[in-house]
Amino acid sequence: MDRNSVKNSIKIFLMLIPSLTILLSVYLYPFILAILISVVDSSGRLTLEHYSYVFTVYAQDVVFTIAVCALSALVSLLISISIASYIRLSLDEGFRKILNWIFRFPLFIPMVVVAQMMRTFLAPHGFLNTLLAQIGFIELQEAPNLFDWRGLLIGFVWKQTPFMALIILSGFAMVSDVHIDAARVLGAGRLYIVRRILLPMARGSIAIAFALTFASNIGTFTLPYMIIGGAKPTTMTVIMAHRVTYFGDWSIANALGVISYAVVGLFSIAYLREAVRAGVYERERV
Amino acid sequence: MRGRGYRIQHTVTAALKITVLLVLASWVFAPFVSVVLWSVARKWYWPSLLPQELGLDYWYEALGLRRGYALTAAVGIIDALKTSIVIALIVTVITELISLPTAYALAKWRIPLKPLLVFLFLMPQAFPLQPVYVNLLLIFYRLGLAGAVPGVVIAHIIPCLVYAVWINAATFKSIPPDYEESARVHGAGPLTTFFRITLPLSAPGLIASSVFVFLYSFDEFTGTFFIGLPNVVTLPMLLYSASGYNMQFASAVAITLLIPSIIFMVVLERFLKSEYIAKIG
Repeated sequence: MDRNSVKNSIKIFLMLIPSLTILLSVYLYPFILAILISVVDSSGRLTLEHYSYVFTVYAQDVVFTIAVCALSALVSLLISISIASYIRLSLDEGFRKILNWIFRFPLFIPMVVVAQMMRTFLAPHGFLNTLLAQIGFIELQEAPNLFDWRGLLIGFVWKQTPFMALIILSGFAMVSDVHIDAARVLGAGRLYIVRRILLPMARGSIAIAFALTFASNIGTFTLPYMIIGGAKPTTMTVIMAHRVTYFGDWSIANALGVISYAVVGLFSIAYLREAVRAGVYERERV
Repeated sequence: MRGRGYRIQHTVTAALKITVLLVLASWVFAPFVSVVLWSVARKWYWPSLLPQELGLDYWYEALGLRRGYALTAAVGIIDALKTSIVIALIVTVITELISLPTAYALAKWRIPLKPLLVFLFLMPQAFPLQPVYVNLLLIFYRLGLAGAVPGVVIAHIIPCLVYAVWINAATFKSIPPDYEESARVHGAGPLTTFFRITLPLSAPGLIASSVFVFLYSFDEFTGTFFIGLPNVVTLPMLLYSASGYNMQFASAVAITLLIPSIIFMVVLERFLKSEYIAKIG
């Protein structure tokens, strides 16, 4: 190695050292600690007892978490594809502008405020039920309590749809007008264009949007904590918090944490590989 | 006949568009209207759709202009607001200082093991953060950082650092190397070049990442919950604890939490990309 490249390596190292120190010590170390703590018993021997405890006591909640988060991501996906298609294909600029402005609104609302909104909106005698009762849709005396999977679904979909729509829109924007115009000239309807041109050509963006949303739902603590709390069934994040704050029990909490890593793992690794390969981190996204 | 058919089709299309907009607008704005109504409702008996009596009582209390029965919590909203702003400012300054050299190196230089680094710097985005916070609490207990502002600052820096590195790296990458090269050719040293050429040119991107980091920290819930409680009460923590016993007060706090986002949106709209904002909180 010549002098110059040694100097260069030292320079790079010095530039990276502050952020690497932070990430390795307060991110990666506790990340790996989660795995270690979850497989060790009180006397320090390797064990799977914490996992078997989770799967006997909390199996229902684990399944509940995965199901609600996947369903929410799926509903968000359908709505966001519709919004993105409307914006991409509408020839009416005014309509496009208004739509573009309205759908973004939830982006600017942090999750903790979304949770409070949903608490007022979905309460047994909250805004939604009163509204539905006014139209004669339900009886207010027997208004449904929505603070279960439905509240979680509504909250997730409300918050995540615009983010998904943005990613899918940037995918649709990369589909050249040439294809769309050609299909139009040949008499293709809007639905046909979406199904046969936009969706297949933007499937990368759609996959990333779904993966990120699902992973983000699985890891969300605020919304389920404020909407469902300790009621059964609840999400893994809420149980993790209860194990730590009520029982001082890090073993079960970490077993749940590792399960949540595993649940998002395949999606996340696919996303990370795609991100590294495509260099998404090096350019600003739309 | 052709004209009439066209007109009917036109009306149907217009009706469809208006329906789409109305449905979307009610879906998007109804929960917001609901929380605003709660914050100004003095009397609201069901089955009425709207409150019977409006008043700003809870706002006066929320803004500390009047002491009221809502403030049974140990911490008032003004204290929580101060804590939130102080933490967010510290987090912003530290995060930007740490992220700048890394972002520059990632954007401009060939780095060995780059894919591995990129992987590490994207991990906090791709995996749930809560298990990390849970174990950080365990570590911080021993270090005396649990329930203290420095601990909360560190907890906030983890996700913020990742976003700041990527936003700043993208910014540096977007500056054509020609400018820096011509400065160097004319005799400027590397530091002069950075401070006189690169930094001013990247100002919009750096402001964007700072605003993003500030908002993220201001709205952060999970890290503060595990590391900060019960001593460090930020605005989101106050909102959470108020939500259990006083819906009106909690709703006023919730809207207060939106104020910085709204200010930054209006003032700095062109610097900020919606996609960044989406990940807040």
